[in-house]
Amino acid sequence: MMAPEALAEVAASRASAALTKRRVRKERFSIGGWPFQLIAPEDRPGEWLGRAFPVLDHHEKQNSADCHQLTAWDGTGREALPPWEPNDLVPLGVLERFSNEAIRCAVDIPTDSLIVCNFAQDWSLTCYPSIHDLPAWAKASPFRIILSWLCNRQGMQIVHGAAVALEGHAVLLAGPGGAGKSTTALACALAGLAYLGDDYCAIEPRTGQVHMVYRTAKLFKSSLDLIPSLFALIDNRDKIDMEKGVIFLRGDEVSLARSAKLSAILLPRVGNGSATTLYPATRADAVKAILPSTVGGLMGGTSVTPRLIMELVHSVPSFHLALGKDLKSVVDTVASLVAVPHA
Amino acid sequence: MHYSVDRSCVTHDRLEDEVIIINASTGSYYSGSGPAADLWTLFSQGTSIEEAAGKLAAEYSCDEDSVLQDVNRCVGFLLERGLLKQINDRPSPAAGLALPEIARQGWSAPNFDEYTDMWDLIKLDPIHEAGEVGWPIPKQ
Repeated sequence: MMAPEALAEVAASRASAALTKRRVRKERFSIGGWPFQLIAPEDRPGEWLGRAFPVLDHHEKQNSADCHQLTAWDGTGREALPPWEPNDLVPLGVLERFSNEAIRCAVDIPTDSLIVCNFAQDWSLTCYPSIHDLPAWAKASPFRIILSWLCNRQGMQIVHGAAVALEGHAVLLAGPGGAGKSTTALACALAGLAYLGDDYCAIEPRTGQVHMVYRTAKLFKSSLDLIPSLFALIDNRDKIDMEKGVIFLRGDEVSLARSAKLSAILLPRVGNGSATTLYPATRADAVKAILPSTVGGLMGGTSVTPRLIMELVHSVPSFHLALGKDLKSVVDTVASLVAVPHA
Repeated sequence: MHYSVDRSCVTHDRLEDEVIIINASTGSYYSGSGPAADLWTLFSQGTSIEEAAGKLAAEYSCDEDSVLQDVNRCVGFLLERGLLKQINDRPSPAAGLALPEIARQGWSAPNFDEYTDMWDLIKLDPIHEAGEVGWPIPKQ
């Protein structure tokens, strides 16, 4: 049986062989101050997966200190063939046979990609069948499994949720798909609040902060009907009837915040009235809103995931947010809560 | 017979009076507080049912026989859910069983809330069942 180290070496040599034939781009990014360098192909327009991450300022970009190397490649040739048998997979996608303390291997089932993370040597690899043909939602939030493992090692947890901020204080919007996270976050961003994400954000209980992971937004067509001004920003306008609209937000379009102090957790749901109302939620409500889709979407999380989520819900109050049809009411309600830091 | 957490598929942690337990194999998670959190803490140290009942009865100043019955029922639940496994010996018997020093209410039968929402996301085959919108949103 191939050992985890041997599989990692095979994957690394295949990545190297594949990328020597490609136009490759390298760029540094960071989540909550934790830096990583993305090395990925950019042969064709729209292929660069780094587009999803917030751009660092010149000083941060030029930092040459060692950091995690996150390499991606694609192809269907021999250099991209997975070195395992189909029955090696477990339901969530982690390849336990090829994983140990130093190395974790998995298959991200939604994108059919191989993930190899070498924690001991601080590098990771992702092999896609075709980066160019990835659906828009996958290009908008790439490498979320690897990044969640690595963030866990920095005391951060990537959670399924949106976040917006005002004057350095943020709220996290958590709940299942369709609850109104993206619409609320984007309505707030267009009204002047800072945007930290609409789908996945990183929380850091040790510092009480929430961090941007992706500068993207994903919207159902129904949300675009509510905020039609966003339509011009949609990257996949030609496919909007078939898939979620994806936006790669820029700082000149809305205010983007890389980090903010978390004040509260909001659990949105679509309400019946025109006004938006707010009422207290229990910690159990917050866990129930955050944990299932976070853990389900991140291959079960890691051993520190329960602790980080518990610390999160213990650190700030939670509120149910019954969303009214009047978007101004939504924004005003969120802004009033963000502006008042809670003990 | 001692019991311990099945670490091959279970992650868990305790904060103050609450525990969260995730079973990544079944896609369920559990929360418990008070006596349930204390019982889980003892099993995470590899206790036997009798040891746990004795420790809890002393901690809550109540009758050991009734605590033993409650613990037995709860162990059955935790074993059924694949959260505990039987082990031959407690890993470090000399260390003794420890519970956090917190204010405790009176004894009540340990009870864990079970949530299976996660399974709805995990069992959804994202390639074949998810719509173009993308996992975890199912096809309408």
